[in-house]
Amino acid sequence: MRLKNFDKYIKEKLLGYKPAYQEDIWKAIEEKLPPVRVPNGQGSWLLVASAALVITALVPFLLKFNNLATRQEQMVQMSSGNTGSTSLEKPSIIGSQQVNAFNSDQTTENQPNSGSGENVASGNRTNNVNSLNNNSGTLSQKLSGSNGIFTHKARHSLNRMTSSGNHNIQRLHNESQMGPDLSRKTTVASAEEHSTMGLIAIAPGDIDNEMDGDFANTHLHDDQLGKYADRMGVTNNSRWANWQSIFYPFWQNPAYTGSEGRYNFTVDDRIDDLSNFNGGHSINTHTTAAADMRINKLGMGIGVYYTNDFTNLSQQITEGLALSKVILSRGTTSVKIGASVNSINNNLFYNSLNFSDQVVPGIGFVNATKEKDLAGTTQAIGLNGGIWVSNPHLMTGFDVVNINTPHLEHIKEAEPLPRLWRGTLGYRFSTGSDFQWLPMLVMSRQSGVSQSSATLTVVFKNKYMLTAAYQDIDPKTGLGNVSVYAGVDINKHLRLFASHGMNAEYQAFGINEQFTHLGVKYQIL
Amino acid sequence: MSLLKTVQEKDLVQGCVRQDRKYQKMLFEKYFSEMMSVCMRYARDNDDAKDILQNAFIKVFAKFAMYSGEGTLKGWIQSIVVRTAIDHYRRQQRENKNVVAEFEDWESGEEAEIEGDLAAEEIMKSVQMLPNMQRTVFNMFAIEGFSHKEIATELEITEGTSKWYLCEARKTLKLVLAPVYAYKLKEYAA
Repeated sequence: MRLKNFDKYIKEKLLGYKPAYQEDIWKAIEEKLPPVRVPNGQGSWLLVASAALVITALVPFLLKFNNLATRQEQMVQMSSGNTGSTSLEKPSIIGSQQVNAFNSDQTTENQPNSGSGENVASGNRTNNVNSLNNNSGTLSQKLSGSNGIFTHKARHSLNRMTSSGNHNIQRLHNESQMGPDLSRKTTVASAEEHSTMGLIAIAPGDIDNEMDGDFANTHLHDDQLGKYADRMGVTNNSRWANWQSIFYPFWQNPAYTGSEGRYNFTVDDRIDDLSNFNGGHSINTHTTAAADMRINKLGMGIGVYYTNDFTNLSQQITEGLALSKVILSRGTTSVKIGASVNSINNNLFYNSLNFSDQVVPGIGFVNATKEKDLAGTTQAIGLNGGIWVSNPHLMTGFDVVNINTPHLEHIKEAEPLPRLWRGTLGYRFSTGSDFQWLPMLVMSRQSGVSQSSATLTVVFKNKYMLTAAYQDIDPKTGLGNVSVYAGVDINKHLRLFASHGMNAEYQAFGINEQFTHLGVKYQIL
Repeated sequence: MSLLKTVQEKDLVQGCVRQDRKYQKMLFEKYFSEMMSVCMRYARDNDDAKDILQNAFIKVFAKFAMYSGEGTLKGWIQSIVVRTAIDHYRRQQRENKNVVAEFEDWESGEEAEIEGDLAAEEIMKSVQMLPNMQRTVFNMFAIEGFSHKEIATELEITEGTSKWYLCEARKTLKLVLAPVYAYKLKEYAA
């Protein structure tokens, strides 16, 4: 072949040359490729967000199914003769479908006492008793299950139930049909709900960039952020990671004490406004003042708190002390445990008309019972514990409230305050230089009843926070509190936050409940 | 590789846009032979070719989001590989300004006659033996289809210089390939 078409000949030959695959070249390339932004690729945040939304959507229905199954079993047991009536019967005195909805939340722990009250009560009275006890169980779960700043529904469940309970008790007493055991049981149950509120109001603070000791690795440092590609260049202000403490009561978990900053001071106030509630209008308040700090050299946190819950039926003041300790620290992941002890002082108002030392018109002074007056202040000491695991992405905790199932001190026959088991799971990620996201789920269980809450928070430029929340979802109805939260960092130390929402469950029953909340946090990082 | 056969190109593109490692590797496997061949043409040896290929694919994966879908994926990747090879040549030129090509003093003989065929691998080795400038110009002109004007722009030389390097590359290849072929004939005769 002459070389007239030399170029063409060479080209054809070269293009036909196919070297064999060499894996080592790929490995060399792979080493030089930039790290994957988040596990499984750039788009995996969509997967995380989708999973969170799906779980959020499914949880209420799963819980509802679970609780319905539990109630079915209980109804079968009751119908087999364990009690004189089922808890689902409509209470005659309360006479409201609204309240009836709560009756079905009863648990086995809330079965009527087998004392003289149940023996003498019959017909509607029996229903009343069941209703009261069942309501108490529901309230106990609701209140203890959502001890945080925004336990609106729980508080008003208590309000409504204790109000109904009051009427029931009064009627039964007037008819001389109910013995002291039953009335005491009912009252104590109502008191329990109050006493479980606001157990661990440890103020959340912020992250200390000058941390030393074991706390040094418990939270984000600015120089650690580079290890997390999806936050790189975004979260040079580590405070953003703590916005969840505004709408979610992580401060109830004592393991969280001291985690957020060197010193933290929080003042928080909430107003619940109910209209068409028992045909009237009611305003309740919940105030919290708390402070916590860390002791870096010991890897410990310590906090104190004070809460004041005021309704038209009771006032409860809770004072507590919480401690935490870092037990494991690996890289940017830390594990902490905590415990708290609190004094619960509850003052019920309504019983003052029904028990000893009352004056009956036309009769005069009557010593109705030799039992100690149930009105006035009752006290209990509660113990609580928790564990907290966190890193720049994950934040999960588990805590138990009322570990010691405390009794109110002068009512020995009362059922103990039930334990509350609560788990939380949150995942932080960013979708750009300005946006960080935090979907979070909360699951709790108490007295055999489960509840859930879901929140989705977005933080803009490390300064502004907005949260959509669906909280305290009732397992029976699938309805909960719909809220919007907002917050802003005023300066390095000061943060303001507020919220507004409504109770979708009450709305379905014709009660309009709006809640407004305002808080301020001062932090020294 | 069996998985690669079942994956369509659009899935491959989407996976690479997501920077999914699995799809990136499949893409690399799919186009390795052709792109490695391109690199070898521009390189002095296989190690050089590997360097070019590595750098080229790193660019491919980094810029994958810029792939518009117009034209073939292979053509888009090859353009990056060729560009990387040219950059590689430039870098070498800066490092070896004074290196005199091994074949520069070869005499430019008459056109030799080559009858029969040559193995592609031998031709590839012959191309790799060319001096950097001759090899690069020959590849760009004869294989990739660049004009002398484009070559001059890319390599920062004059068009005349480009033509001269091309001519030299041809002469060199002819000289190199003819003895090999002759040797093989002798082998066959024996």
